[in-house]
Amino acid sequence: MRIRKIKTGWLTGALLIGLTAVTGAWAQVLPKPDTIRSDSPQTERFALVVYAGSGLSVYSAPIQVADGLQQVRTSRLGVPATVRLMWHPDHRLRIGIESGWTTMYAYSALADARPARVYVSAIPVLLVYSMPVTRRIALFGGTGAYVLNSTLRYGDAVRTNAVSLGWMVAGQFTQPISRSLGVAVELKWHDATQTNDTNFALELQLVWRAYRWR
Amino acid sequence: MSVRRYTLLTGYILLTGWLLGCQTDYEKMVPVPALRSPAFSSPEARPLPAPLLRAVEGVYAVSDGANLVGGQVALKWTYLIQGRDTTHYLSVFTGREAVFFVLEGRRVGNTLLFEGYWRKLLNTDTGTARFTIPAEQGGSRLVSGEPVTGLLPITLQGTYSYGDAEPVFSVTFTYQRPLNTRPFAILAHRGGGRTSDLLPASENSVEMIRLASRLGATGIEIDIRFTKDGVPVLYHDEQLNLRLLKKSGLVGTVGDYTYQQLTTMVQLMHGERIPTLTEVLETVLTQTPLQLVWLDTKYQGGMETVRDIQQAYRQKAAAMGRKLDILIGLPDEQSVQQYEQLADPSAPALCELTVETVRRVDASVWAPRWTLGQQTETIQALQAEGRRVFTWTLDDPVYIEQYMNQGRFDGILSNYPSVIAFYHYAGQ
Amino acid sequence: MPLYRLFFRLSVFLVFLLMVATGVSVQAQRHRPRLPRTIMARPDMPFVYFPYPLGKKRWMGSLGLAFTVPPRAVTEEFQVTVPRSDLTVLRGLSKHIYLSARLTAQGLQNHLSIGPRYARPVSERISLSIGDDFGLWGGILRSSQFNSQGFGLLNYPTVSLGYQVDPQLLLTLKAEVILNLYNFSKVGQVATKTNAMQLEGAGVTMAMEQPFYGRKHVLLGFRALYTNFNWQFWALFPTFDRRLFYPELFIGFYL
Repeated sequence: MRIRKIKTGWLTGALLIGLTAVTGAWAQVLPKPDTIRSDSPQTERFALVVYAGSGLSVYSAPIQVADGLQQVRTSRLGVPATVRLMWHPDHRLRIGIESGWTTMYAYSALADARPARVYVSAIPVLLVYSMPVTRRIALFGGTGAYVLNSTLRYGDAVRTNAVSLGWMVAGQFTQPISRSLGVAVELKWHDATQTNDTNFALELQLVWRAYRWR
Repeated sequence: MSVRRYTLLTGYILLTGWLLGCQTDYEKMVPVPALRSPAFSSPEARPLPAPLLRAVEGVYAVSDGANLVGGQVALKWTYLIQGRDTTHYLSVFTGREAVFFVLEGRRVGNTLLFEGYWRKLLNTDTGTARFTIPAEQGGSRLVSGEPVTGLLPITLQGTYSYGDAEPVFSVTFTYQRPLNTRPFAILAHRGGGRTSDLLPASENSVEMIRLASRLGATGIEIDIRFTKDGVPVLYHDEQLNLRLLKKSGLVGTVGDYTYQQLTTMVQLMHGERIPTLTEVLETVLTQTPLQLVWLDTKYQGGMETVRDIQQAYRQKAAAMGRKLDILIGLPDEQSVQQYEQLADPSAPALCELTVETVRRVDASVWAPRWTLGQQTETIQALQAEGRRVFTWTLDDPVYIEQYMNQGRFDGILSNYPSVIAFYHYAGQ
Repeated sequence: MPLYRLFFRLSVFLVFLLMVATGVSVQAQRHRPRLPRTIMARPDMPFVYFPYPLGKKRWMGSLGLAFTVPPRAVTEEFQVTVPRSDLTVLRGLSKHIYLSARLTAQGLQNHLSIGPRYARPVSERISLSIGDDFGLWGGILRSSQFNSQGFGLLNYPTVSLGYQVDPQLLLTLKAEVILNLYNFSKVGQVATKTNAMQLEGAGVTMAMEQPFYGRKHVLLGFRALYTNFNWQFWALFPTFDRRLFYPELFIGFYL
């Protein structure tokens, strides 16, 4: 638990400051970026951009089970989904909201010779900031809440949920496919701090510049 | 961008992470040093007989070691019964930064040995402690059963260390006077103390309750909730969370799960199981010298079950000749309504609400929050009616001193019962 | 965590930052024609964290919100974040010296700090400042469960390192030490006070100042505090003599 806590804090710090430092250092050497379409005319100053996608997640925090459980099997893989709405103003910093769904982990075991199974997933509700790094690469950082869902199957099935404060950081590469659409690959880290649940997700996303105005 | 610049930026990120990553780890417990001297562990070292235990109790002046424990300490014996074994512990209570010692005693000839550990509860300082009462400085007199008062005072000469090392720092206690015997309830919060104080047991666990009297408590407050299948258990928070529990993947409330599910799938922070109320009262009655249990109501509905358990253990205590008060705590209007519906005057209660409510439900104890002040006149009025007044949850050592010296309370609930114990036993 | 370890980490970090700055500067000069050394020009945007001389009689200010996540040890299961208003005002006193004042308030949790800064650019992109703030905190809590009040005086020696990524993006790293000078609290009629200077902990702030939309600029920051005492939680009378971690996020818009 101790090692895990330190690693989480370390990683959080590294990723947050990474967002700041890398963005700052790289942004200076490049022209004003556009992660949707490199040659789009900058006629509209503002845009609302929708991101939606899915992929694969890997749970990155330790999985702990109660002493005495036998034949424990754990699963760290999941299929996350993301929906994000970002406001792109006329400068680097962008702001928006994100939600979606992600599997955290599951385990099964024998308890008193009876099967027990636990499944944990989360719905993030985050305020997100973003800054472009290059014309195609952007970094995202968010903070807010994770609604943790837990299902226990041991005797009666019990479905419960809890809210945890948390963070998210992500890096995204976008390939434009039309003036309003792009396809993006995103590597993302979720951290629900109060429940000690973290995962990495690799997602393929559709990026849609839904609305533009001057 | 050059390779060098990539390298520097990577270093910047990693070092920043390293800097921000040094956050405190709240879950670790402070390990209890277990180092003992060869003499203490030798076959010649005999347990101390009961009369000799009582003779060592008292208020002592501190000469060496005052920087750790202050100018005065109170020494008090307590015990724990497990099976057929009874272990006696000598606790040393101090008024400085919630420092206490827990020692065990042995006799080698006419020399008395006391060894154990000390801990500062305000932070994580701890270490080994060893004391002797040499034969010529009271050892012979104590062994022979002579009175401790006299021309030659009893002196405990000792050393202590930081961590699990050989003790090297000197500390000396010299007997001054007997302990204050005025009745006063030293109540330990959550069965003995908070998990966040990094004690060797989790709050509201059987293990913590076994520890409580060594921490100075004469009574405990515990938090009662009901499982889905109606079993009263001890758990403080509304939610299952990592503040109190090891990670298990289960969230929600205690009431979402059956007792079987909880006890199988969930462990408290230091590995204990969530105990039932019955299990805890059995422990209090049969293993500890605790005299009061405050059942804080964290549930809605089910007070009849708690009342039945309360009555069963009050009767059991009476049959054993044990003084044991068990009080149903009434922290809010909902619990007061439940209690009034019981309409059972044989179920003693402790009410945290207004004085009017205390009188209406005829609670035997009023328990206002300490942040309301000392309320001396109100307390005296209630005491005149035959009620007692406890205050909660007072931890600040400066305020504890003021409340103990100036207040008129019959008891104080604290996460630091050792500090309350010091000011009570050392009081004149 | 012992404070010396925190200071060790902080020192290593600051030394590394200087090495980075020097390294980048040297690297940049290798690829450019030799020119006379230049010093950073005034940023083309407002700033309140970036350690650059403000200029005599000039004002600068920001207004926003600050969010502190309390440690579980202090607030237990109620680990919620209540935002506070956050006003920062700078006033230039001379070429290199200015006054910095920060008021962060919420009713129960109120704090005003004020103190001088000496700022000086040291290269094309880097500027440094040192300062010393005095902080006054206070609050009153009266309800059916509380009859408490408290106030105190703190001191914060600070060092800031600013890196101008471009004239429209300013990064600041600020390190501070927290000294407790005076504490007073009163519960009912019982009062206590302490007036011995005590080292409570240290903090590191990362701030980013840049344009947001149109001519509006925005301040985003993260402050990591490791301290025994945090004035924000005075009403809980926490007793821990342990350096607990208080992460704080803040956002501000320039006045």
